[in-house]
Amino acid sequence: MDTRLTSQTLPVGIRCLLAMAGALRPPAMRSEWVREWHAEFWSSVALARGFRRQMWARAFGAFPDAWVLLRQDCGVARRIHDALRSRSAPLILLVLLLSVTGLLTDGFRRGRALLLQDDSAGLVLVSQPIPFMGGSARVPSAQVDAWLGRSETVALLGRWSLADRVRAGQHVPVCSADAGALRLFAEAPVKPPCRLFEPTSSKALPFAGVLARLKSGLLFTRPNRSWRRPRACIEDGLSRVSRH
Amino acid sequence: MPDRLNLTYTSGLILQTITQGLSYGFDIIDHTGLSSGTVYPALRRLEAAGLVASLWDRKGTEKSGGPPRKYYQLTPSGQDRLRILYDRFPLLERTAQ
Repeated sequence: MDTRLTSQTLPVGIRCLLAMAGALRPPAMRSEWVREWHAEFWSSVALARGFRRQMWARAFGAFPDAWVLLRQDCGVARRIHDALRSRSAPLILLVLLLSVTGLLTDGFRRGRALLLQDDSAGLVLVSQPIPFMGGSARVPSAQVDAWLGRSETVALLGRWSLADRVRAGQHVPVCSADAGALRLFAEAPVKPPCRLFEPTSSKALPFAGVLARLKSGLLFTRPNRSWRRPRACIEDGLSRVSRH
Repeated sequence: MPDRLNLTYTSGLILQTITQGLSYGFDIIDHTGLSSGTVYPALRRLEAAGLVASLWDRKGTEKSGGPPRKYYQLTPSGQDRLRILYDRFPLLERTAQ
């Protein structure tokens, strides 16, 4: 039986839909099923030109058709078993895994934000109150006040801290942040790993993590990749702030 | 097998359309106004129940020059079942007339 004629006549999208629905059929029974659908489409296109608009709706009917046949002929479990033994199984599993991960992470939202969004270009995490790579770097309140008062590079500083609170019998990580930090976190695509953001006055956070926004037109350059103590890194990083 | 099949009005409509000579899948869709997602699964169930048989139409191919189409025809038990359906759904018989 010659199916070349049908393949040439049918739009690519319809052929793809039929191929996708046909994947539900076992390989041995697939070609006859596809031939039936192709032949119906071919005859309809040949007879009525206005039919092209209805094509899509009809092509989607191939899915319930293939599903009913799948349940009648070999069963879903058997088809999955056979599909897992096929050569394309690793690729299908990879696509499924990526799809599920994409759905669960809102389309890799955090990763996309880190890579694609430029909103945080002027934001600098000066220090953080949570352990990172074996240690945490906290800055005394007086040091932050000194930066804000004398620095020519920082437009806004925010102080924040993480605390573990018990709410309704469960340990909940809560981020206490002053007004500046809350404002800066609202701009940042990535936020601390806590469920709640609690506004706190700056005085209540004497020893905390610090987040800063540089003044307009400034760029934070990457420090040298040499191993230094955290404090030295911060001082070096701030001194490397340069004008555009 | 046919006794265990619970035939609906839709299935009856499809059986009746086939007896009227409209035996291709898309012709049944055009005639009944049902969607392809309803007609084809119903045809598969009817065929599995032995009420309908499908065959490839090779003669039509020679005339049209296109690929052979599959057509459906009622089996004797399908015709019996359609008569039962006429009793159950009187409107079905009236639409046939």
